[in-house]
Amino acid sequence: MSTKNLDINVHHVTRVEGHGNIVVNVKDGSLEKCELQIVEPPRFFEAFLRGRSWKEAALITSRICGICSPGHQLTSLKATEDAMGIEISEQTLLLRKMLLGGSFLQSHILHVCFLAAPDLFGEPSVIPLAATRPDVVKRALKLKKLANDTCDVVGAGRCTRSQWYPAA
Amino acid sequence: MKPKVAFFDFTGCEGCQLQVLNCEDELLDILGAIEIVNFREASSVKLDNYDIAFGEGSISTPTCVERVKKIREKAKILVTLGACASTGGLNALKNFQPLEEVRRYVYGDKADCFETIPVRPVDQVVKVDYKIHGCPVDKEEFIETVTALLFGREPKVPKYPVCVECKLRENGCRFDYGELCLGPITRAGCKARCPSNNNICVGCRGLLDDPNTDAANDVLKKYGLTAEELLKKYRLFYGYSEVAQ
Repeated sequence: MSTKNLDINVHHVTRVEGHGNIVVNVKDGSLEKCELQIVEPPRFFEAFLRGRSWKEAALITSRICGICSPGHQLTSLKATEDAMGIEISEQTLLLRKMLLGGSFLQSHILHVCFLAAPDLFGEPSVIPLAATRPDVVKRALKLKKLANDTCDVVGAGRCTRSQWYPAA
Repeated sequence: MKPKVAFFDFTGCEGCQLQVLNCEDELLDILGAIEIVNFREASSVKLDNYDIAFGEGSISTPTCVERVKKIREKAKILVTLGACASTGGLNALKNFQPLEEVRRYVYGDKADCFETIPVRPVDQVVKVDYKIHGCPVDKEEFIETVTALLFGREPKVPKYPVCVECKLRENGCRFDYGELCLGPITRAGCKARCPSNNNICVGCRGLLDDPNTDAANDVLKKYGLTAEELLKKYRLFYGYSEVAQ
């Protein structure tokens, strides 16, 4: 019988969007507690949308997440269009796919190069990595700029989101 | 010695902190001039000794209140990062509905797990030294603020409305397209990005310190728009401000 005791208490997991704690307690070899606690303050987007114009829905919901705004924005547009029976043109569809592609690039580069890479190089963040491996960080910044520029140009926005507001 | 800088977030989407990492061309220079000692979104280093604190997000839970007070005690300079922290942002939309009902509407029988209080910008809880506006913040304005703090001078931030930047970019006026635009009363600094992309200004940078609201109302009347429409629009990012109440 194991007598192992374990007391893991990570207060705010780092290098990730959102607030989470990890708590693992083991006493005399038996697991007493194993929790991923989501401690993010709630925002209530569903309630924000009540009483607002359909024109604002995508603009509001794109603020759910600053890392992947285009995904939330495009999904919301799709829902609005479904509700109103609107069919979009081939050109619009292609542009939206390009925006979403840009967003995937943004997120993957952020994850791999900025949030995960420090672990692979044994650093606590990209900040000391910039000093020890400037080649890696410089390339990452270039890739990131490419992804951000794509979203900026296609989404008429500011990297993390566009302020698209239909005139109709 | 390099000033120690910390980044914290309260209730928000973390997009403004991401804008810091998005300073691709300047990030290495910035990191050469300051020492980042706390930045949960980007770093596992968590130190509690800092000179300058940047705070993102609105204050919307008792935990946020406690945290921001502790941060204020430790930081020599506190800067709000983005609309949620500086003016309350979109989060304040929930203040117009009964909070208990809002919790039930979104989380049903799990509502009790999600504590919430009316949304406030950071300066309604503690003293704020500087504000960086926008949803999200403009990279250049962040860099300007950091530069100003390093040199011990005031950040150079426009004190005129978005219309000034919009005219400089030679855009057609959105009102002439029959749209309602918040440019005339909204603080500039975004280079009128939205009107320059055929969108209206939705007011994400907040109300000018000294807006000409009478003139804005005259414009509204001229285009047959109602005050009610205007107020509802203000609420998008102006929920916390007196104008929208």
